[in-house]
Amino acid sequence: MKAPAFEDVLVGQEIPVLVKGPMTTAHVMRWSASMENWHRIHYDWRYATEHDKLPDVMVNGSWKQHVMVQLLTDWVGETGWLWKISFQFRGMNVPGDTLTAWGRVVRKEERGPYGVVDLEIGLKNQKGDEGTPGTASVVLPRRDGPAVPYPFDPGALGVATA
Amino acid sequence: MEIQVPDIEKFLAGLVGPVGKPDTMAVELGAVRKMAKAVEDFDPIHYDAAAAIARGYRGVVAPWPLLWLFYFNGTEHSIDFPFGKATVHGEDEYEFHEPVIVGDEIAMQMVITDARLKQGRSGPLGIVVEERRFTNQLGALCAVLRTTLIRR
Repeated sequence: MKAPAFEDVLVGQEIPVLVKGPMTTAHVMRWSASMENWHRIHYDWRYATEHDKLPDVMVNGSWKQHVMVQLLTDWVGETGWLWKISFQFRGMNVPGDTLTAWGRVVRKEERGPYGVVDLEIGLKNQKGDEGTPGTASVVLPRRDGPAVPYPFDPGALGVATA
Repeated sequence: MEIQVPDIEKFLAGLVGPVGKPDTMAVELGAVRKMAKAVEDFDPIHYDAAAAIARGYRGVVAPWPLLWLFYFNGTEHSIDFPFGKATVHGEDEYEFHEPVIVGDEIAMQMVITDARLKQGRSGPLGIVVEERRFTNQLGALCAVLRTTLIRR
């Protein structure tokens, strides 16, 4: 897939989804180990279900965030930059779930020599329930414009550096 | 006796400010590969230095949620709330600037930027925003991670 230029993007457009799963306890365990997150709700079924009254062990919030980061970095490709992303944890996900990360363009704006595109994003399970709604802003090059700076500096957009 | 609202507000206001000293950690190849594999992200920039350099990076690129490895390895920190029953991780927000590269020494500083009481449907909620800034050995800001905790 060709990386989009700012002019290629339309408000209302859906970006290609990224599907992961079905999730297994092995996914949850590997992720917990790679992050050293030893919260028992991620690996101790009895603790999760009996002590915390959860339906099963929980898929990690940060695993879900990575899927949504990957959704956007895949879409903007090597020429764009994922600048900001935010998520709200509204729903739980458990082993057995298949997760579909999606994004929809809600705004686009020329900023300096570049373009900023704002998206609504989310992560639905196989029943279509939205569990992790959020927003993201990506910076894209204009068709005949300069490359997006790397490393990325928001000063290039004429905004104050974080 | 149950703690009163003015005391809760005073407690929350007292949380705002830097927490601990900056904590520094090296970015290891094994950690990066393990994390990329765990999420089934097979982009070679997360595995192979030559592939990453060919695409303009300084070296093997860490997946952004590697920041959570620093989070869980950083100085132990928990807030002992004198009210409510449970603390929920409500929301996260990231800003990305300079990629985190294998071999980097990343310094993390945490600051509580906001702590206030909000009236929820089922009673008062404590809202605490923790901000972690990640800077590399070159002095470049890599990322900012803001986490909103809800105490209810």
